[in-house]
Amino acid sequence: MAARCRATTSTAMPAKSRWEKVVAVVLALLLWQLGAMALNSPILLVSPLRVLVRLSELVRQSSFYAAIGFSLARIVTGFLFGLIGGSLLAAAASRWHPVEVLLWPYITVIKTTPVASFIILCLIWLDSSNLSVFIAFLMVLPIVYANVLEGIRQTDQKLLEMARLFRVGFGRRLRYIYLPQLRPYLTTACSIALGLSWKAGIAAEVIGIPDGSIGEMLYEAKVYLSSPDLFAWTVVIIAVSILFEKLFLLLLKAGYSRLEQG
Amino acid sequence: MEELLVRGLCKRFEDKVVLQDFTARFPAGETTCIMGRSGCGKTTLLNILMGFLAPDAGEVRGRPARLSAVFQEDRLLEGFSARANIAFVSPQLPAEQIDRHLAAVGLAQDAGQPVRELSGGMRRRVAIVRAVLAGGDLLLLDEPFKGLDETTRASVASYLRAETPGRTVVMVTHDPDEVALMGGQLLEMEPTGAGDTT
Repeated sequence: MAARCRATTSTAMPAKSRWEKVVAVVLALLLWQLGAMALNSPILLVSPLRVLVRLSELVRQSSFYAAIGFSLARIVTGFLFGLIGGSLLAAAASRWHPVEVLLWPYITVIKTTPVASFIILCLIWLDSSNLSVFIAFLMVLPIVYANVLEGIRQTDQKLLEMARLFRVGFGRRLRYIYLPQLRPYLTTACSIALGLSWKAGIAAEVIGIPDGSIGEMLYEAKVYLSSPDLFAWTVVIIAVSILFEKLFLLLLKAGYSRLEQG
Repeated sequence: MEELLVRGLCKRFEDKVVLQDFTARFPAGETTCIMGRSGCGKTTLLNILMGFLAPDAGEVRGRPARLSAVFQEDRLLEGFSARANIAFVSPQLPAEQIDRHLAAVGLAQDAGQPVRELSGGMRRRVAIVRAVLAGGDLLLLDEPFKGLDETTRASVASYLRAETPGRTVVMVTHDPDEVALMGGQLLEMEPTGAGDTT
């Protein structure tokens, strides 16, 4: 019994410290560098140093920032539409059961259909320059919908009873009961949806090839077999995606702090 | 407000009978203390008076449209301050008035503190001030002094008596000392939730 207890305790993994993360990243880069040196074929695997050099060349070009701006604006727009749309639909579904039932097939199809199918289908309907807006929206919508709906369902019924007894209006119930209780659900939904909107949005751009987008840069890197460009743009996508996620979650946290301060 | 009357109330939860033919009168503008042991149906009765539960049989007459309550649980908005919790139900009140009432129950220094950082007794006092300031002709109190020490209990009872003149107050408790503190009509409930004071 004692041995079992010890075994249970030892399975609890401590959180990664900043130093541990730095060491892990440095080792991964080192392994990548050694792999690239061993293969000795920049087309198959470019070295991290070469990627760094290419990145330093790219940041000196105005088209670099234009491409980031193009993709960022569209993916963020799609994300925000998905966030607002998913929240409103979840609110409606929690209030009226038939809405939830009628939405169920759409949400299930969106969740299960491969993103590539949607991209190709949407290319028929939409101008390729706005494709990433719609694809990011589609990826975000079901995640936000499911999380917000669950959050509304988990709202403390006793607090709602209290508000009803004191005849508190919907606006104040939303601000003081629903929004605070939705916080963990919204944070989780946004955290997942932000990363996914970038992945799907860029995939849409690579297939739709709108002029001046990050997707177009990736497509050209593939056509010209330019691994340094491919890796450099991938690093940019990861960096912008992480930065936007951190910024958005920070804004969400600040918004909630302001809400609680009244 | 006309007098509040409950007649022949019955309530059961599956096989357990909680209220059995319960009848009582609550005179308008006066305090009534309902005393009984735990599990005798006091909270069920209050939940019926609040409109949260429907009785299986019987009727409630004279329930006003506006009422307020101190619930069995505090039911406070955890992330918000004591002041914000009160303003939540009484947004028309100026902050100074809320602070004055909080000070009257010994919470002068804690008006701006998030209630999740307050002790159980302090939270209870916030819930009491919230109910008092919410107004309404009928005030329902479910074990309002739970978690309060003897001295605080006496001062909060005195605050309640002072702030509710002309209002119909119904308090449930299992403690005779609390009945003595609040005064008014006493109504004892049987273990099965039966009773008749008419």
